[in-house]
Amino acid sequence: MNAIETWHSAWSTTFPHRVVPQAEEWFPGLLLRCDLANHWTSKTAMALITHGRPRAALTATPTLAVVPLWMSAVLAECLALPLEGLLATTYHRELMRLYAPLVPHWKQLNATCVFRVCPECVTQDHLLTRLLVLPHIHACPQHHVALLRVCQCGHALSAFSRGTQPFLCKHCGLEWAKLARLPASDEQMRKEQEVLTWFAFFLTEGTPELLARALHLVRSTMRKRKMTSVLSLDGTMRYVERHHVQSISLGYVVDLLMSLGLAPDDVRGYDGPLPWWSRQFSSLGASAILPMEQERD
Amino acid sequence: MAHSEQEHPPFLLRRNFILTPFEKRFQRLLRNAWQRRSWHIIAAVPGSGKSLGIHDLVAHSGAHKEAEGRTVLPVLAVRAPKNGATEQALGQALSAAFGVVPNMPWYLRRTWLVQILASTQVECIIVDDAQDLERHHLAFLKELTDNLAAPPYERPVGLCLVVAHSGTVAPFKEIFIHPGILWRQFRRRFDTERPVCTVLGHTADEVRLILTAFEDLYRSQLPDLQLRPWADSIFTWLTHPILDPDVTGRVTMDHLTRLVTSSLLRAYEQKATNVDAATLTEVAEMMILKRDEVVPIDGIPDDDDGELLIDEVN
Repeated sequence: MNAIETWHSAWSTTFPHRVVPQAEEWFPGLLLRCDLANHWTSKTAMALITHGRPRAALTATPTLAVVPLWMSAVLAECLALPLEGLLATTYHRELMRLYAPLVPHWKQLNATCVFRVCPECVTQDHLLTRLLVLPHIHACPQHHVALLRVCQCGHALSAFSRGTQPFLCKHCGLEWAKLARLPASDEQMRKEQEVLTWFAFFLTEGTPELLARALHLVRSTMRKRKMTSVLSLDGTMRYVERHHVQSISLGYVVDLLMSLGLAPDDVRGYDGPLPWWSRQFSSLGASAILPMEQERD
Repeated sequence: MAHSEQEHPPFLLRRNFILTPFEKRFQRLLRNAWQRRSWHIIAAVPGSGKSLGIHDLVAHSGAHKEAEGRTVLPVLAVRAPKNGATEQALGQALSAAFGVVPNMPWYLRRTWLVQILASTQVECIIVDDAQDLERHHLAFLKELTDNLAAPPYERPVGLCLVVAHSGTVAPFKEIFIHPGILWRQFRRRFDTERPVCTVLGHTADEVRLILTAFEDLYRSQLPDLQLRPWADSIFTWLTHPILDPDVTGRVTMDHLTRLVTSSLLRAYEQKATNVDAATLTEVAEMMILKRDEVVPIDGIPDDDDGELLIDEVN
């Protein structure tokens, strides 16, 4: 929606200053920018959109990698923006398509529960990107600096701290933008670029069938190579158990595929047997599944 | 029944805002205060059209919320709180004018209001029904505007206290004669030339002008409508001491609208194409003579088929 004038009913249902999501912006970052634009302390916009909701509804989404549909809908109304734009601030739609017909959940991503920031992104645009929740990513792919989870005062950073200004450390008041830049090595950036390629592959093209293909490819590759465990991305040896495709996280799948040195084209080209159900939802668009998820909320 | 309704649909009441001579006078004062950032008490009798005029001014003030974070609200208009004499009540009313705003402690809201008024570029504050303002409210308005005028904002703001006024006593006289420094400071901020103004209602000529507008509005429903010939009679009726207790000799828009629309409704229901003297006189008499009459309601409505409905009580 363009400018809202005083005669419009949306005038009274929107925040005093509206904010538009930036490209690849993450939901909590958008809420913090709402706080900043409206001269509110941190967590105020969050409190406004969750007002009157049971606490259980919030604790179920600790990482905010995926937020309940109602939360996006309320924020969309407060900003007079289409819901579609708000859904793009989490991996809601992508996981909905990938794990259909299950309700999107942060555990499907194996999202990291540790809050981290790229000080350079914060300096430039007050931006927290969605990438911050992806597992195996420890450096900003744009600025090649380490993602920081601890302030220079030694305390862990947290997205929302009631009573403090947004984008600040609640303990020492240091702006996140002023945190030290720790350069990432070329080797780390190369490896993480590969991880991002895998995530992009699943999150843009992903369907239950593609996920099933990937897991069956892993199993057949390990059978061929007579392996029972792999050297995972964090450097530890991991025994690979047989999980059901839909109970396995995307982070884990990416870890296995990379550890085995496979590429997205290997998944695309896999022509082995697949479980019958995986094809059932392959043609369903995310929009077709949305109402069911909405009901459960 | 349906066929006859098609032939003669129900009378459509037009609620268009008419920029009457009163509204022009009133809005000119408000605009002047907005442009010069001056302070005024603006009085007019009840039913003049003050609230509609304020609403129209705000709607045409260029206020808007852009998607990308910029919000502009040059004229901030609120109604004086009725729910409490505390400054918090006025703070709540001012906050609500911006949209969805969180609950916050009063000490934070005071600061926040200064920030939001500055960031939305408020240039004039209008308080409607200001006769309901208490001392605490006025003291808070002074504090708020003083903070805006001081660094870092340095934004002088106009203030219009719009009061429904009757009689000859100046509004807020009892408050401003108080010897305290605060009230002396408050009074000092008012405009030198026109600190207190009364906007008068309509003269006979102005009534004629408004009747022209009514003719245009309702011509589609009453094709031969002629109201102007009755302008003098209407003016005489509506300046009767019962409708004009302060003997201003002026007509309010509320009375004029009531007389015209009630008469037109009656004429329309009689399937006339114009309104006649008898109908206008009948309505005027009703407004003047039967104003305080209690109307007993009895009998059964015509459209009732006589059966009694019984609902089960769960």
